Amino acid sequence: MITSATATVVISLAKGAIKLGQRLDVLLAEKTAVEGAFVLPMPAIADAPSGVLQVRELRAYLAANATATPRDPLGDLRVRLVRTLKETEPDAELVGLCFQCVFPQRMKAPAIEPDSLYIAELRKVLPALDISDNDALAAAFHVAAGRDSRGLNYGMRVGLLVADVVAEFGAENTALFVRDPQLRHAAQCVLERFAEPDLETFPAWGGLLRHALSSTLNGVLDARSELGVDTAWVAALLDVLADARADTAGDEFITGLFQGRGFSRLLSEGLARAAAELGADQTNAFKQIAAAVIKTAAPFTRDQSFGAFFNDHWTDLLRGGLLALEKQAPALLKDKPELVRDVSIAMVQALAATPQARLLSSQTLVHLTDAAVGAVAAKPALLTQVAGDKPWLEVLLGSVISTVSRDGIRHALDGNGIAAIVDDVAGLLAAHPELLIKNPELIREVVAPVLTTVQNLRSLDARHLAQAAAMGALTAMVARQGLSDTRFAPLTIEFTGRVAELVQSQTIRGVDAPELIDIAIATLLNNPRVLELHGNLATGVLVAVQTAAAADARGLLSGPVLVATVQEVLAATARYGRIKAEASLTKLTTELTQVIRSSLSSATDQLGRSLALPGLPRVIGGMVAAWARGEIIVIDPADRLFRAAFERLAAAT
Amino acid sequence: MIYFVPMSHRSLLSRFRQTYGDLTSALLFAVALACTGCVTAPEVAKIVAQSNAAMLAGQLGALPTPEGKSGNAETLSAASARIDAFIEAHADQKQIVAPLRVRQAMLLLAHQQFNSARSAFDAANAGDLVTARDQALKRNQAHLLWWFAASGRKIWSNDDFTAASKALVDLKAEHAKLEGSPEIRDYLGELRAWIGVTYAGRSTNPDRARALLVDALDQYATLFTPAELELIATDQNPPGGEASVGQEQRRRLRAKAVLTAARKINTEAGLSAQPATAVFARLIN
Repeated sequence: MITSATATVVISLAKGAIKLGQRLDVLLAEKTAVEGAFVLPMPAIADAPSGVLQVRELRAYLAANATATPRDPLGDLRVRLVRTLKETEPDAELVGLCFQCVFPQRMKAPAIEPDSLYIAELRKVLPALDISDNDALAAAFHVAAGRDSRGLNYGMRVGLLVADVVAEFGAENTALFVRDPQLRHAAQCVLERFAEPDLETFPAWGGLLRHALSSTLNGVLDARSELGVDTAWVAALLDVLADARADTAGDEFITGLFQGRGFSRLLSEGLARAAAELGADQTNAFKQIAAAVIKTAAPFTRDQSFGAFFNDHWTDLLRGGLLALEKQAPALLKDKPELVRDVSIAMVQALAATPQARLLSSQTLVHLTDAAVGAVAAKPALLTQVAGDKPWLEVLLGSVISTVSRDGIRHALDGNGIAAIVDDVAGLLAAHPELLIKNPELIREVVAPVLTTVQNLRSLDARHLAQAAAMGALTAMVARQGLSDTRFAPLTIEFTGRVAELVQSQTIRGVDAPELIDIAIATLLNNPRVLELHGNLATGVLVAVQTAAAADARGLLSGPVLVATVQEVLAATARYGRIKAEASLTKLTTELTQVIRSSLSSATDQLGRSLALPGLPRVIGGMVAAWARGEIIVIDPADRLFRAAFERLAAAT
Repeated sequence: MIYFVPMSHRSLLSRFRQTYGDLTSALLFAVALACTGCVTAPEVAKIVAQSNAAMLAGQLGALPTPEGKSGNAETLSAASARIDAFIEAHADQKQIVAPLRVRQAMLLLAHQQFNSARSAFDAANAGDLVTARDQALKRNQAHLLWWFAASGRKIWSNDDFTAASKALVDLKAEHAKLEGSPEIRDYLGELRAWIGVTYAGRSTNPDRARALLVDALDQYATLFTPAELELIATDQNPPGGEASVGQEQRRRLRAKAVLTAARKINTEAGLSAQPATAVFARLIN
């Protein structure tokens, strides 16, 4: 009777045997196709008198037969032949044709057959060779396959195939061979991972090494010397890990680093990019940075929480460092090679000191490292600078983390939404680290309030609006130096809040909100003196347009027309209405509302005749400009000046 | 776990158990299963054998085929159809398909099916070829296609002369790439020598013909060691009398036809060509 355990082993063995048989069959088929003997024939060559001889004899023929006769074999070719025979190199094709016409028998020699001549020679020198034996004859013509461009020959691949199947069998039946449960699990994991791909399909050692890399840590470390010069960056990293294993916390620490989520990404993206962008001589600098990061972090990782975070994100620090190297390599490596290392170490220390560091996404961390290196490269003193009672870098991280961790906005934007916005912002800062030099808390001061203003919106609206406001504001600050010293950011945030209210009350559509933000930011940038006003002109205009629109029963101002109207009115007011705004923003808003309402009233008669709806915002903007310039005194559609101005503008659209 | 063993296999297992006992029968059963379904390798082996026989038939006339048939056309179509059928059934096995396509192309060339040969070459993806022989044949497919057609023409067109010039340049460069694979190097080296000698023979200008002949033989001479050249010069063969031919011997024996053709052209046209290799210079004058 077969027991259940025996049956399991047998089935497993049978599966392994079948798999082995099938894969061996394919492998041997490939070996036969690739390496199989190949009879390569040499074609027969038509034998004919040489071209030089043909020319000589045709000249002699023409000399003896200078005039054409009715039976002239050359026929029409004679004239062309005479002409070409005067040339240094007569036309070979014509000469051949003529020779064939004149001496047809001379062109009937049998072909030269190199293979037949070879067999004739073979018969002479190897009388024991049986030419009638097809196999023996084929062997005399076989051309061997020659070198295989892959690193693994078929003998090795058959060996790998067997090892693969055995590993798979072992993985399914680990309990039979390993008694210790923990060790059994580890053995099973290694065997499973090693058996995952079909080993024999690896075309070269490189692929096998990569597989070993992902299968066992020791395999990687032991194989590092075989990786060769083409993978200098990978070799440098593996050397660092090997050194760290020997010097610091041992296998467990290194195993954790190796199993972290970013390892493969660092190999596939970071190092590949570094190898392409940076010189091979720069691997030493990278090696120093990696070693410093890992060694610095080792003591901190005894804290279980930070240890797990570090295992997952140590590669982000290196990737960020590599990005910074890529952008600033010449200056950075020539003058301050230790800078990236110092920033990376400081990042490790700051992250270890920040309890909520785990909220940072991989990409944000990459960008922040990149941005921090950029800022410190421009101003090295930042590394030791203290803001408040904390180091500059810790303030920067704190600013980001406090933004990411805002509980109040979590019901509007999920973690991914916030991370996406912060990641975009961090990417912008990485490209423009100068923003951080002045204010490491920029993210907290700009992005966090924006996130607060959108907290009551639907997730999608909140994300779009926050993205437009945060990125718009920071991009403007990049474009216009000195803007961070003005009220630009607070005004943008306030305007964003007002837009968010209108979206929430469904007065305006969520889809139009980002465009309104863009309009406000552009107006503030184009009219910098507006920033000096006590109130927020942009908000006032928005309120005026929205109030007038709400009072209009026909709903002319909605969707894109509303957005365009805000744009026109804001531009006109910023340009011509600043003095009125300085007197009283409240009064200005009230009067603006009146101008817009009266314009809408006038539009009733003109729409469909001299005015189309898309042209209405331009006319309203024109009316606001005329009023601001004093060209309209009485805000009344029945007023002569008002009506004349409206008709003129309507006619001009 | 035993449930998914098919009924036919269960009865087989039962018979094993009656004969050999439980565990032994189980292991034997597993081995028996392993032997099922192995059909690919033998089929490829048949393709290789049949195509080689067909290749020889194309060059040397009808020879007995593995199936006992004869006749060039029949041999060619059977061998080529077998390759097509295999590829259709195993299209996903790219590293098997690509070398079979090269083999098919050479088979068709040997039978002067030039358009079909071109299609077969084109179907062989260069990236899937791994041996020096197959890669070199694929790299030089244009020259092979031209030469197998042009070698049979007594009169060359201007296009033939242009193609010959290009082939001579490319095949000379090929020599360096194939240092570690002497057999395919020799094959392409001899091919180049034939092209060069034929080109010299077709040329109507004695200076050009002389230069071509010298170039063809100088480059051809690089295939041989000084000892081999000495054996060629004395027309001797090392003692042996073996029943098979080695690569060096093949190279020497095949050289005689090339040198005979070169001598004919050199003397007939009065070129007095003097290749740098003294043995060759003596043998063609």
